[in-house]
Amino acid sequence: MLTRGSCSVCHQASAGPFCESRGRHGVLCLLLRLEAMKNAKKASKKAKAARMTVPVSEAESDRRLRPVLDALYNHNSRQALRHAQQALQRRPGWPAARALRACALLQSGHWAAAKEEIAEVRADLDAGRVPLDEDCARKLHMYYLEVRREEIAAELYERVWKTDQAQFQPAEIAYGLYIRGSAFTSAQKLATKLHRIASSQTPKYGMWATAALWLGLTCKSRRNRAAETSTSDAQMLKLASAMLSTALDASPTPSAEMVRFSLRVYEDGGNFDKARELVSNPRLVMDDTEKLQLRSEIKSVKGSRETDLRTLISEHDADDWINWMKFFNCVEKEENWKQRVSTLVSELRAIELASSRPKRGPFLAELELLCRLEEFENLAEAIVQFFRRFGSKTVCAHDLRPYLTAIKKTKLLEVSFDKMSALVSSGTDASHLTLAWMRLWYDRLGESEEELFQHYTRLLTEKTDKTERQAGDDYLLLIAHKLLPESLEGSSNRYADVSRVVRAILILETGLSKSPFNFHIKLLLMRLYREIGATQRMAELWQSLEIKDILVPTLIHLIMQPAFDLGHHDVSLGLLERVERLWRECDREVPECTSKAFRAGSINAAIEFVLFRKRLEGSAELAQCMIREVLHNLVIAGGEGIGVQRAFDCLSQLPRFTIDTVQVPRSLITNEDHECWRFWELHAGEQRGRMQIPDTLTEERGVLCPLVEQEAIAADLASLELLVRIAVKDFDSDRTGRSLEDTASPLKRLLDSKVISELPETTVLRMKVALNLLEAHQLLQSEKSQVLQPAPQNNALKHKKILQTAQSAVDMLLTMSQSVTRTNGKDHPTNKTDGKSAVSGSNSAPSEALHTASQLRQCGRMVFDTLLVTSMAVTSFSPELRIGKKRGKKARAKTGASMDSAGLNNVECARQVDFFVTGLESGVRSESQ
Amino acid sequence: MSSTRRFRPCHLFRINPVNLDTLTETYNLNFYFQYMLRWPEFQQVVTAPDATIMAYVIGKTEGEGNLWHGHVSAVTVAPEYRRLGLASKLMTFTETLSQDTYNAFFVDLFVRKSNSLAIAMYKQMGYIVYRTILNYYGGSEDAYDMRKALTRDQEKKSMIPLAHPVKAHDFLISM
Repeated sequence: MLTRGSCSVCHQASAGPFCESRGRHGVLCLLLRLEAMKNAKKASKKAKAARMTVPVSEAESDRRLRPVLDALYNHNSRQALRHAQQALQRRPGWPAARALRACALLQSGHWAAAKEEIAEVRADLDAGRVPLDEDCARKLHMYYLEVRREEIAAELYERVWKTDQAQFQPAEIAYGLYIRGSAFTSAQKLATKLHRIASSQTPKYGMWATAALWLGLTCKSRRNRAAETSTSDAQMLKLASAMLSTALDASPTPSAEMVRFSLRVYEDGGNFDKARELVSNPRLVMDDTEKLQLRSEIKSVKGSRETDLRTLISEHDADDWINWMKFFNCVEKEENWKQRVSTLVSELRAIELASSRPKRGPFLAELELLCRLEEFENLAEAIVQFFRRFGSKTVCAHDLRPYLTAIKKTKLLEVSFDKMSALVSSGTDASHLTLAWMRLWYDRLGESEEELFQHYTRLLTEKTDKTERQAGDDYLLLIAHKLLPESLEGSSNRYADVSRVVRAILILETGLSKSPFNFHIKLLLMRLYREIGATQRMAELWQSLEIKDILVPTLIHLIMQPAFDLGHHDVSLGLLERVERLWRECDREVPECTSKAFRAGSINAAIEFVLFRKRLEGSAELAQCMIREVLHNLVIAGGEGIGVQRAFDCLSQLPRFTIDTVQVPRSLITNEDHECWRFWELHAGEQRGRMQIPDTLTEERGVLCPLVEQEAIAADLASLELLVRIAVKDFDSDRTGRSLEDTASPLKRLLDSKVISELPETTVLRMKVALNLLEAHQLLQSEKSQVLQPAPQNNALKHKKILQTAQSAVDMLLTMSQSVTRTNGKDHPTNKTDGKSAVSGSNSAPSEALHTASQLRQCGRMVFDTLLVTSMAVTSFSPELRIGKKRGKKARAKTGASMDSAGLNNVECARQVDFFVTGLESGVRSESQ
Repeated sequence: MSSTRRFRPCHLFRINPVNLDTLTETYNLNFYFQYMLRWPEFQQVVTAPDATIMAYVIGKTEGEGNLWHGHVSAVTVAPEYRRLGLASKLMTFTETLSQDTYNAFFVDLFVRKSNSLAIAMYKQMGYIVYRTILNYYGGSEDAYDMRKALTRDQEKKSMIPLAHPVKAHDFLISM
């Protein structure tokens, strides 16, 4: 407490609170006095600034604030601050200028100051000390857009609208912003108000109100929704139906988009009659087929639905399987249903048989009918007939799969396969491949790898375009399945045998040299390279697939985890950058399109965009990527404290994660794509079972992530939230009643468990390197112990060279990896049990760790190449592999020669060997230097 | 067996089997959404019985006067579903829509000069090479502008080929 007449620092007598004496304490007194004066000046300025009665004109606003906006656009936050300051000197307290100043502060990373500034502006606006006009709302909107709180900006626009309710534009903007910010209740209330005012002029706002209400119900967390009683939802849907009817009454000619949306609402509310009435409206402008399609989807009177579906199938498209399935489901429990379906199928079959290019629909419908009737003998015969007619089409195998599954427990399956085999003339017949796939699915692929490879080589041609696939590429996939069967006896891991993985890689790489754009081969190779720890090649393949934009979130799981685990920070950081770009785009573009759609009256499109955005935002992949990015920053920063700040910076870069809190989504959705993996994960296709009719809403909302995974992600995100709080020094120990140490302990746990244990260079990579080396070493040892058969004369030198190179490389790499591992074990932060090294350790550890990681990565790649070459060398020498067991001299020579010619020379394996040897030698040379 | 339905935003999560093919371009979100918003009926997707996406078409209408036409921005089929007539089914759909609903004069599309298979297919469907656009694809590869007249263009004026190629730069400016 300061007393009048004495200095607060030295307690000597003085005129004011600080003395004017010289000396050390005098300087301190002077400084304190200056500080006090500055604060007083600031306070008076603030008090002055807060007063402003007349709003600034649009023209003046544009003149004074344009430079600020330009500077912000150019990311020159310092200049933006300066210009904003200048504008405020002219117009003290101007809320628009202050909002832009807050934006500049935000851009320069001064989050707390920006937040404070905006809070002051809001306080002044609420107290009426400064006027709120549309221009001011626009500038504040810019701030709220940055911090992802657009619903607050919507409130401001709504307030602007209330000052002049004849101008609907601010209200329309407010509605759009409420929808963007997922404040559906507020959006509905606003739209209802608008509807009351303007219902005589336009039905638009009534539709908007219904759309907001419906979205609020649909986007409610699904887990929470299940827990709640559905009574309130049903009441709300009833209300939505009523609101919709009112809106539609005002619109004599409903648009197609309006109808599409209305059907969603009516169907959800169980108001099928209304829905049917709407589609039957003669004034509706819509394509007849779509009208019929929409009408057939309404779950109403069965008789008329059956007629609609029958018309769609027989008159519009006999190949439309969804309509066929609906037709079956519609009539199945009715009387004489077999007769009715059978008649339709026979009629359409006859038509198709007369056509030059028959459609498969009616023929497959026959199989479906027999399957539902459980007439399995007839079904088996029909399967054979279907194969006879369409076996040459690649899709035939997929068409028949559900029906083969239906008879798989009977002897009929075997009989059918025998009959189908009799229909296949030779290996070059396209139906041979179809049959091979079907046999594989039911563990009846009897042909050996060599035989399958021969089929492949027979179909090889030079005439195919570079971008096209070779006709027999699928045989290589079948060989990979033979080498690495999905169900292994005594082992749950199909990749456990490294030498088999390497052989599969060799075969697939061979195929890739002939079909360089076959993405199935590339995807499978990526999977196999991951198992063997060769992430460099995996990354190369990923690059060559040119995966971008929307494909990234659905496929990123293929590479993100292994790249992170195996220490390829460059790869994983590049990926994260792409993901971030996509999410930013989603955050910017999708709401824009939604607003446009609402304004244009395309309610259905707007709804679809909102659901799309929700799905992308709530995706487990986004959460995983964010966690990875934070961890990356911590890993790269090593033991330096700056890592935490970097981690925070990266958090702030991501959309939907505000400065204040990390929003932990309650229902994470998985967007991983498994469609392109059906050729490899065969059981995934099997699980899908019979053909299903897609549910539109489930498709739009996506599939929920498994609960365990969700919980793990939520726990990590919660820990990251703490990290954010600590990083922005926002922690309030008084409020929470806990000490900083207590609160930070989960963070420590996160760092301990995630960062340190996942430091790639110490665990997974080392293990992979060791395993691969061991494998190569063992191969060479076993080779030495055998008596080598003389190799063909022209290849002898090459084989010897390969073997020698492999041997020397293995020896050298063994020594090298041992030394790296020793260094690693001694110095690495993993060995520090207190976990401090990750956030506050010494500066030398990270650089050493990074150096070690880089050495190990290089080592890993070289070891893999060595393994590949060794395996090839052994394969080409091994008497068992070369000539097979129990064969005569003649057969031996013949098989050996054919293996050499067909297996190696024809498909350029030899070229690959040279490539690897050269690469290996240069790698060894550079390492020894 | 295929079901043709409207291409909706949620399908974008499942287009990998089609778009992983090297000749199929993946656009940014805005591109797809603009098409879905402005010309929803033109966007169609074909699915297999197990709901895998087999093929899709993205199209629009544009131009003025005699140049009012339907444009196929992308038509693509997943490699394992080729030679089933899906591309021609989708092209026919676009032509019918352009003709019956929009009363257009012709339908056009751009194709890489090197994509000989696609060019042959379009020619079989009645398209002709109207003009060559130099350096259209990434400034390095030429494109063919292929056209097919609809019934409104009775004299088939839209199908009279241009004698000289057009530079991509000039073409984009004139759009």
